[in-house]
Amino acid sequence: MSIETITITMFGSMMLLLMMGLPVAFSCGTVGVVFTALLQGPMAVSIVPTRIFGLMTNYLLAAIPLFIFMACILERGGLIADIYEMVYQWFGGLKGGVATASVMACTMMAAMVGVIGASEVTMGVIALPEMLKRRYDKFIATGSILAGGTLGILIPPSVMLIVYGMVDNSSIGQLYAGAFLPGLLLAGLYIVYISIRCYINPIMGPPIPKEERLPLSTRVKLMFPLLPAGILVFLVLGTIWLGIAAPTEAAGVGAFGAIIITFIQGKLKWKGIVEACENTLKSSAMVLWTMFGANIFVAFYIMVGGGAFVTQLLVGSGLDRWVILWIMQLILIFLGAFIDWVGIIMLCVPLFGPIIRKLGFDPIWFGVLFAVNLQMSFLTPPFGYALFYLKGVAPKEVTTTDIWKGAAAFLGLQFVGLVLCMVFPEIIMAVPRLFYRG
Amino acid sequence: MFLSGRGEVPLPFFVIGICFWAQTYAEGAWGTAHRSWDMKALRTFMMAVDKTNIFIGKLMVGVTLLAVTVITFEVAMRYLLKAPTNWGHEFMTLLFAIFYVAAGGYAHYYRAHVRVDVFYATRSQRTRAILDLITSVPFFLFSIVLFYTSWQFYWSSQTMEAGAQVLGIPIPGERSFTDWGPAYYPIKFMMPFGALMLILQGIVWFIRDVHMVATGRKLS
Repeated sequence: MSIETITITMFGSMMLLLMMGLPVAFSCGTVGVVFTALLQGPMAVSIVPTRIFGLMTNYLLAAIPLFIFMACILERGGLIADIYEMVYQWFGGLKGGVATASVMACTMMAAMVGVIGASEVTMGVIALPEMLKRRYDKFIATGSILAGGTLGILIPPSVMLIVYGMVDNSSIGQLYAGAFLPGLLLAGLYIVYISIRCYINPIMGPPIPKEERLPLSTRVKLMFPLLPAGILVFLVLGTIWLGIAAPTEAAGVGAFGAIIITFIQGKLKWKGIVEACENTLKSSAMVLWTMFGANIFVAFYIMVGGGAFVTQLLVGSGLDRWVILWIMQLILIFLGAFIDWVGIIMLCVPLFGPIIRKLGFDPIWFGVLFAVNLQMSFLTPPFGYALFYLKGVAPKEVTTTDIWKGAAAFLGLQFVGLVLCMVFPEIIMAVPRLFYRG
Repeated sequence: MFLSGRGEVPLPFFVIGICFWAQTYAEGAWGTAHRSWDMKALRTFMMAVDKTNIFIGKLMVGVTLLAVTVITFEVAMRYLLKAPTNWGHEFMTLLFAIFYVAAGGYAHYYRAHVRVDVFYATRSQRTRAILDLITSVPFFLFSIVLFYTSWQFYWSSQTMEAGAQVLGIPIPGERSFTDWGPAYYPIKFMMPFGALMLILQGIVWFIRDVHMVATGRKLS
């Protein structure tokens, strides 16, 4: 079989299985196993457990369940709700204040968790009914929560960047440093957008009335219970950026610290810990098993010459390197609408990584760009995680169409953010240069 | 390849087993000769698989907390007391290896494995059950291959002569090459075990889907 035929039949049959609802892990895994058996003989299939065992016992990957666990503990401990309450009191008085507060709370939360589910669900339960009650524009209300919650996967500690760093063999500390400013840039874009819309047309997002606002002293008091968690985050991220601790160690201590803090503050009972563990198990399965399956698929594809084929196709086309970069971004946006981010990283990074280095782009810069791009995948229908999460908890009067329309404007902002990061590479590279000179 | 070598469970037993349950069930659901003991046995089997996977999930609470404690202990020893252990990192990594494998069947019980919901999610329950029945062919293909290959993988690890001794008696089994040198075969045993739990959970979903297609109702 020629490599063209293999490419078409492999990706075609995988897509077919995916469309029929077979989980990504098993779709990729089956196609990988069947093609290996057909092209290299049934004995070659015995490589499968070796590959899975390699991933299972990977030290870096252990940071994924640890960060997820930390997020689950903080969520059970009601930290997201506390942060929202605090920011809400401080900024609720602005026009569009509740939406702004939602984005800010999500951004702060994103610095503590590496996934999107926790913020998305909690904010959908607390902030969305609040905004509807205050007659906020539905699209601003849903969009701010969708976009804000998605920051969780970009702003460090990010689970996405751990997977990326593992697959691409690049430093997770540098990727984390690189993702910091783009995350803040996106949060800033969302807030500016909300404010402009609401100042032009105050009906879209009325400020909370003066009589409902708390006095300054009470507002300051609201900040105190959040201090321990804040310090914990600085410790976790600081030690990773300064290269003192490996991400896995920082994640482990972060998880331990989160249990201690929420336990001492009396917000976490044994039952909460058990639930947090079970949610961690489910979320880790989603990430790890998808990695297992996709690894079998892509490892075979590269072994039969798929990597060289894709490189030849893109680099050999003689196009300008920026055009090639744009083609890659468009491929990622397209895939993001259909496949989840783990699958995309596992399938695309082994193919794109060598090309990026060949074209002379900075791998760290591209890695963060990749993550900024994949953020959009959470909001692009038909397969957008954030849309499902919010729909799952939203009040009945919010329809799926409302959520999709709300996502549209913020999707545009994410695209603007992506373009800015491409045009001004310093947005990504400034912080890594600061921490990792030379 | 699946029938050669030692220490294997013969594949035909699995296939026959699956067919037997499916056939037994079909008789119970559609057949004129409805035999209640068939249904009872089937329900017991389904309950047993569901409960086992839930129980494994509960066990993982302990594994998670242990792993978090171990890594924190290691960090404290390394950075505060300057006396790193030679087992902390590896122990935690191996605990998570067990964790991931156990998560497979557990997540399948909750149908939590990531799907692409473009076409699938908008169908009726019955159509989804039909799609599931069709895709169960590749699912079982993958999980059974996973079971067999990882069983071989485990068995070669179990029978490897690594020179380990207990009280002067040589004991077989692969060991890690690190300073600490823990036995690898219990971890590798978890792989066929995890694949087996995945297969069993897949069979339970298969039965539920058959019931849905046949009757249009959920099986309680």
